[in-house]
Amino acid sequence: MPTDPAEAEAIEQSLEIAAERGGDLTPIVYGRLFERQPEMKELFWRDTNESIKGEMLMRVFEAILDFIRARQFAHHMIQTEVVTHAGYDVPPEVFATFFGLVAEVVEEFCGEEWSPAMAQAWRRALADLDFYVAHPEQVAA
Amino acid sequence: MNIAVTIKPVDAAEDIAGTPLEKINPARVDRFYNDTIWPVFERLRREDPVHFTAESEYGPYWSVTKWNDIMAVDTNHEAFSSADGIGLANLEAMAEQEKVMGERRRGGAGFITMDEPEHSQARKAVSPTLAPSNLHSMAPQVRERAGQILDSLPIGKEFDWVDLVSKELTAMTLATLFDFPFEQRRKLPWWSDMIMNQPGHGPVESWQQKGEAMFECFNAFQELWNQRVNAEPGNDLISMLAHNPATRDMPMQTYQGNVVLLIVGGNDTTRNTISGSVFALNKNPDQYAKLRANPNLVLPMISETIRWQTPLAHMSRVATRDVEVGGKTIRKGDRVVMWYISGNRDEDMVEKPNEFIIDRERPRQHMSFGFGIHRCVGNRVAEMQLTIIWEEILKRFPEIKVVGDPVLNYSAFVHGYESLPVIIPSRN
Repeated sequence: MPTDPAEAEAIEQSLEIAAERGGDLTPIVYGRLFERQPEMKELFWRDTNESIKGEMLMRVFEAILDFIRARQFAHHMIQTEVVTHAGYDVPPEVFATFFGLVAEVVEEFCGEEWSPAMAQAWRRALADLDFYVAHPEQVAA
Repeated sequence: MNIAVTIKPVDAAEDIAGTPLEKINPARVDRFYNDTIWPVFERLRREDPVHFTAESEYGPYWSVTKWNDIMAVDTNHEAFSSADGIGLANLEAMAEQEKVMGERRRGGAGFITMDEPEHSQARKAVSPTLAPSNLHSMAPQVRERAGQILDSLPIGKEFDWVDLVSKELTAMTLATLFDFPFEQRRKLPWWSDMIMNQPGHGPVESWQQKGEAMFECFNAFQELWNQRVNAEPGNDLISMLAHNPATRDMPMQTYQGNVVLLIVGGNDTTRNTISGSVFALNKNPDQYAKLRANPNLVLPMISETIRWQTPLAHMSRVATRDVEVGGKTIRKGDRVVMWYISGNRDEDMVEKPNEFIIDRERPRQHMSFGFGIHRCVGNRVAEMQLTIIWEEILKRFPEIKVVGDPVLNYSAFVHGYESLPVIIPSRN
């Protein structure tokens, strides 16, 4: 189900605040991912300048922004990323963890500006995203 | 026989601007060969981002030219099938080839031309070999071999970079991945060239010769299969296919298709990016100077070259149902071409997209490996080889100087170099 426009706006606002206050979120988000799922670290052995992680995180933000608005590609992209990552033994749960981590870090950076509306919008968006993570098989619209 | 023809870019731009929109056929090969394709895609992105060509040497087809529309097609494998081939096929050439090779199913290039669920089962059979953890153990060998190639190059004497470096490095790496007889490694890029070219281009002289080369390739890989299937499982690609339950009983034509996919896929991206990097750095000496001053820029330079070069210009699909893309309705059965080469120059996604800038803020923002379930399975191998070769080049040579015009591939699919004359003036 498409995201409610007011909720989409709340998510966009939270991302803007986090971007302004947090600068590059890459080391924080991936640092926490590796704490929670240390087996993921080995997959990034070549990423000496964090550009692979940085680009992946940017794509996640772009996917979230597309997902809550036009939904031109994000839902299908999430499904296909789950499928291709399975080939590298990355289980679907990692995607759910990752989206949750992004929301968690965004909330922290928003600080006192984090609102109940943002909390609700992110909760619903994460549930919607989880659906595509759990159902990577595509069916006719 | 390859003949370099110089077309003035300004003439090409005028020609394209004066062509009625409905007559534009972006897959016209001569524009790729002459490097005059860019104004075509600029116009389409601006005026008709999802464009229909009603008549062409490939039959009718749609062209998708902007980043987000390409993403929408590439990630939607339910609505866009790969089973009927992933490249535009020249209909006349296909008929000629069939006379020699017999009728082969359109598609038939291994798991890249399969849909779900068969695709993922077959892809999973080879992906562990190409996964980051396995590459870690391969890297020292690739570095040693890259060093050997570079140490054997002539100093102060003109040579073809494509032949002595780009082809040689990819041949060595592919031979390792297949556990192919090392002394015969140069057959791998030669077969790839024979498969991808038409008579008169690359090494292909006639359809007969092309057919014979393909049979030689298939026979060699059949022999490898027979060896591996009767041996203990190993971690080379052929052994993995021969022992994986999802692929061990595949029909011979499917195996041959996988061989074509792995040889061509393993060859073209890496080889043409290695050549493209030397060419682009020579065209942009300020960027070459930046790289020499800061070798940490090797990684972003590689990504920028992969974007700037776009070694595979397109992939195509066939619509499985009526579906809307960018406001146009694509009908069931229509062929749709995703022009990665255009998406990588989409002004809405990439700042100054026509410029080669090795220290971009987002160097990895490109679509050259595609997206979706068919995203290039060997992308990390390609990046590893490219990074290693440039790290080793910078240790050895202050400059690689391009001393003549390159000859480009005659292809709307493989966007690369037949030859690139260079001189290495001195060693460090």
